[in-house]
Amino acid sequence: MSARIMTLEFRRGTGALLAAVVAVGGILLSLITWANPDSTGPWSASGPGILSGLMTAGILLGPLVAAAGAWVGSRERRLRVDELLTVVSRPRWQRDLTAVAALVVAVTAGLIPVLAVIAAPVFPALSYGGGRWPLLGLLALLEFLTCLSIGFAAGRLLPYRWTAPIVALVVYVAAVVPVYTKSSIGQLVPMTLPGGDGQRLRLTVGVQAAVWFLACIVALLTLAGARRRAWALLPAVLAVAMAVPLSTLPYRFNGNSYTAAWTEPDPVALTLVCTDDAPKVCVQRVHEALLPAVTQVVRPVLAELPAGSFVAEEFIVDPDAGRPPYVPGRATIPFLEGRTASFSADLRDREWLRTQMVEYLFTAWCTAQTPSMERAWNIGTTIVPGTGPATDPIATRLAADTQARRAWIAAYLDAARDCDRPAFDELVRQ
Amino acid sequence: MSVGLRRHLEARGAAATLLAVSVAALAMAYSAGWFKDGDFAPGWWWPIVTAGPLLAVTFVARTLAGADVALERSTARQRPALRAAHVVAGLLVAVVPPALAGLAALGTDATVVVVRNSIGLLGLVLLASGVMRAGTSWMPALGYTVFVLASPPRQEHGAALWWGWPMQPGDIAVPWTIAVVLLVAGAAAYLRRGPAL
Repeated sequence: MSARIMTLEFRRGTGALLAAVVAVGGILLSLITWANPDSTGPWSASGPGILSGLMTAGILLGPLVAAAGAWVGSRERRLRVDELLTVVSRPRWQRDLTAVAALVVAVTAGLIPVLAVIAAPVFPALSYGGGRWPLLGLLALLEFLTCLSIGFAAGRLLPYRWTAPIVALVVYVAAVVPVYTKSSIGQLVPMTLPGGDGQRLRLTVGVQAAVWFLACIVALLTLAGARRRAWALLPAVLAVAMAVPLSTLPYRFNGNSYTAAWTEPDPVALTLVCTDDAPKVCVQRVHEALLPAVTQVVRPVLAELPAGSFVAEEFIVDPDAGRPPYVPGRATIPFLEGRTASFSADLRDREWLRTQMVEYLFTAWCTAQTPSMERAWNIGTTIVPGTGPATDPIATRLAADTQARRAWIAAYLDAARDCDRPAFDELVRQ
Repeated sequence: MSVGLRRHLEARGAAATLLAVSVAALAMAYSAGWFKDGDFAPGWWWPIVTAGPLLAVTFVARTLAGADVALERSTARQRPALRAAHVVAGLLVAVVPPALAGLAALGTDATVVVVRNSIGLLGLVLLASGVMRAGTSWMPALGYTVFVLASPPRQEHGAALWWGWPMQPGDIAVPWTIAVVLLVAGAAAYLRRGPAL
């Protein structure tokens, strides 16, 4: 019986239209992002990456889902059948449940093609599922259901013609204002949930967030449909109990993405995957599909380094920690997050990556910089093939003499490792 | 004011619409002032100059049809002049309060964008009212505007001028052309057919 009513709700109510709107809107949003040559995004070839894309689409889809919820929530009064429905034997909460269930089916059905479009371009390059992605997937679904519940409750409590569009705009504003104001309250907004390459949700925070969304949904639906609305207080208290610790979590940049309090480095994603042949180039497992392209970019730099050197991608765990631990013969590839075009498995700007890697390679982690050190840095960053142009007379000479250049670079790296100022003076006197 | 006109305005919810648009304009001005005082990310005013006109035309949509469209259509003489008056009045209500709010809180450049967006979105609502009921004619405008807000165009040239016209600067011709064409097409369709059943 309920299944039949739900099917009717889906086909003849707002369900089918909502599913189409969610699917078309989400796909269009993805295509616009995809078509934009300037757009970069987190690497999508992992479970959390793909789900982050879906959550971001919530800035568009969330308000539309809320509007649909409000439209359905207010329909009894709008169609002037509310008095008529008070005499039917089926209790209101059962009718509401089937209406909401039809909308949930619609949202889910609409999201599946969006998810497919986000995942399809990078799926062949998927090298790692991603830690705790099912929890992130649950939060993504709860994001949309929260919007739906907000709309439904608003439509039921304020059953006016204008409720639906106003609710949509309110949900949009609630989603973007914390972004503009950089407020920690933004951590309660589902569309801005954190994500990042090589990171996974902290279990405790993820569970707290799931309970926060669930409690909100139950409170709102109870408020909308229960005979005794006071029952909504119970889940509301639970929601507040979850919201307080979540919204007061420190909101800061952790070196790779925002909201370090929500995420932690994912040890499996950060394990190194290296080329079989020498000289060895390593990237983290979450970026494994980029290894051939990265190898092509960094091998010319690697050829300039002392024999036996290798190069590995580095994840910045703590930006305040200063100098990274020194590993003999190891040069660093900057973390690869955001270096692909959105929904792509290719490096976006190879020259940029090479330049950054060379600059990182020649960075001397010394407390005070002398003029000699600065000049040596300028020379070093312009003599590696593929960089430049070399303007310093020493750089011009070294650029033409491979043996001398490689010896100079080896001496520079030794000086930089020990912060040896006399050695820097010697390097710029040659 | 004649009794007939007063009742007509009452039936179309004119006072409530004017009040709602005025409240939306005040909200625009207040939020602009609040953002202006803070140290926020650049581009904070785009949602205001886009969502404000959207709210205004959403409220105006209510006035495009009476309680019984079928009854109105059954009259011996259709009244395009009355519909034209509705379009003009709706245009004034949708444009003037948001523009005043823009002038008061955002400056001339943003006000030009507010006026253009009000014109274009009203055209979209008028077009929609011909194919769907007036009570739902705000839906395409809402869907489109939220889409543009969620995916703001990053370029001020090429295809972005066309699909993202509400979020382009006010001194570019193409977005203005689109807005005016939408209004003209919407008004023509509304004058000819009236609201959908």
